[in-house]
Amino acid sequence: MSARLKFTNDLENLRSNIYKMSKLLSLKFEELVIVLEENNRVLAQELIYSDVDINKIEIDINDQAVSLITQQSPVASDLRLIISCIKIAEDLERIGDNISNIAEVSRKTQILNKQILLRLTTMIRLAKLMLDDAMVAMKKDDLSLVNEIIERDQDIDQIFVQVTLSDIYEETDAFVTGQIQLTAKYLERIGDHIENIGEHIYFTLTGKRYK
Amino acid sequence: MIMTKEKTSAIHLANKDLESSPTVTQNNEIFIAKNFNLWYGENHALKDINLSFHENEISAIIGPSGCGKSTFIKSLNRMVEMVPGVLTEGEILYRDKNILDKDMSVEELRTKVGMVFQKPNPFPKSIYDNVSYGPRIHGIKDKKTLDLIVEKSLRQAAIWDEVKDRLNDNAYGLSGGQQQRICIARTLAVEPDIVLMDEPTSALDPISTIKIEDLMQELKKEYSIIIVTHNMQQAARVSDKTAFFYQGNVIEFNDTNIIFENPHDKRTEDYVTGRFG
Ligand SMILES: Nc1ncnc2c1ncn2[C@@H]1O[C@H](COP(=O)(O)OP(=O)(O)OP(=O)(O)O)[C@@H](O)[C@H]1O
Ligand SMILES: [Mg+2]
Repeated sequence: MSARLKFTNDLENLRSNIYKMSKLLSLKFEELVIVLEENNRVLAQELIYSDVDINKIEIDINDQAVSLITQQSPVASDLRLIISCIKIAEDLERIGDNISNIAEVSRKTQILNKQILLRLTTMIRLAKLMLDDAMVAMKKDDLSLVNEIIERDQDIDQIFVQVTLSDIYEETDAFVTGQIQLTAKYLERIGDHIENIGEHIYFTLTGKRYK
Repeated sequence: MIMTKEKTSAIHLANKDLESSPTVTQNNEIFIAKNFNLWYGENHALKDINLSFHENEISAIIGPSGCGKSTFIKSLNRMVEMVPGVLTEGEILYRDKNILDKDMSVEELRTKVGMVFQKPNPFPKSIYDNVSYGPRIHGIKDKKTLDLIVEKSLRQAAIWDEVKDRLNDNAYGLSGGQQQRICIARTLAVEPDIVLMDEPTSALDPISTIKIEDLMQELKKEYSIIIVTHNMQQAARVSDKTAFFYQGNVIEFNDTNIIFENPHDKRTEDYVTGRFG
């Protein structure tokens, strides 16, 4: 195999690890909706346990990136892809942590208010769609989709404001109120991480920072 | 003769041609190639080259084998003319003076535009004689002056400490990396304005390579350097500007960081990332 071919294959492996990590998170988002809607505490516990799988892929991605840098002295778009994969993996790992945090909250609390529950699960669904689309954009080098994903973070932010500044007053239990606020905040953070991922993909594709 | 920095020269060269050139160069440009073309017989080796090099900068020339890098830098001191059947067209301005003009003195040009080759090529003489050779043919006979020039040049080439106790030894007895630095000292001894280097470190080990690269950073304060290199990391490390040559054309000439981080031309990207061919 030629040196460049091996390098190209290694870069593909790096990318596919990002897709794999992202796919796992996407499934976790779906399960998180079930956790909230059905107050499924067993599933919540599983979500927390399986965070290690996500962490492990992040470490693999970092190791792969380091050896590619040492062996290949990458430049230009190759280097941008490697740097971006390291950063995307970090954001994905943080998304995993936030999912675990939400699952942790759900193990102790049941949100009964239908309106609030709908808002929170909508945030989760929006995040899942954003993340899935980010991976499509990365696979297809689709810059306009990247731009759109970054914009879409605003939708999540709006629901966050809606929940924390208005809906929350309908909840009378002080403890539950706090837990809802935390959940909304974790989801808002998840939105920011996906927005970051969009920006990393933008950088990979253009060599410029997203402004 | 326009110089950015005053050089205290022991050598007084008859720089008539160069001195008569206009006293203002735009933007500190030292070399400007304008629609420069070169043929080796039927072979059109350089095509409409437009490039400008600046004072106190290191410019790298990269590109696949046979793309015309050596031909181009050998054109800058007219060494390429030694090949029979060479034909040129266009202009190469050295400090506003077209070096291809009939009345250009090639000897003076080569004093101002020094060259270091891929393989160290010292003369089979002592270290001292190698370095003092240039000044001597320029008429310097005084031993004290020559001693000073030899020491200064060897210091500039970062090899003084290694050879100061054996200046009368034959230069062939030195290692490749040391010989290359002797050749650099020999080039510097005539106080050139520009140093051309054609793959100066390709025959050297990493430590000697780093020494020469450090040396280039030092030299750039006083001289301008144009280096041909096949080592991408070297071009990225040492140069301010990089020109990418391909099949006799300049495809892209840009700040080095742009060439290696985000080149504008797809062909440059393919070359620096190794996707080529
Ligand atoms: N002395 C010569 N006589 C005839 N053709 C020559 C001569 N020197 C070079 N050429 C031709 O000119 C073209 C450019 O050669 P040149 O040596 O400038 O390439 P290069 O970029 O320096 O390559 P390398 O990286 O291998 O040193 C080639 O097609 C080569 O065959
Ligand atoms: Mg060559």
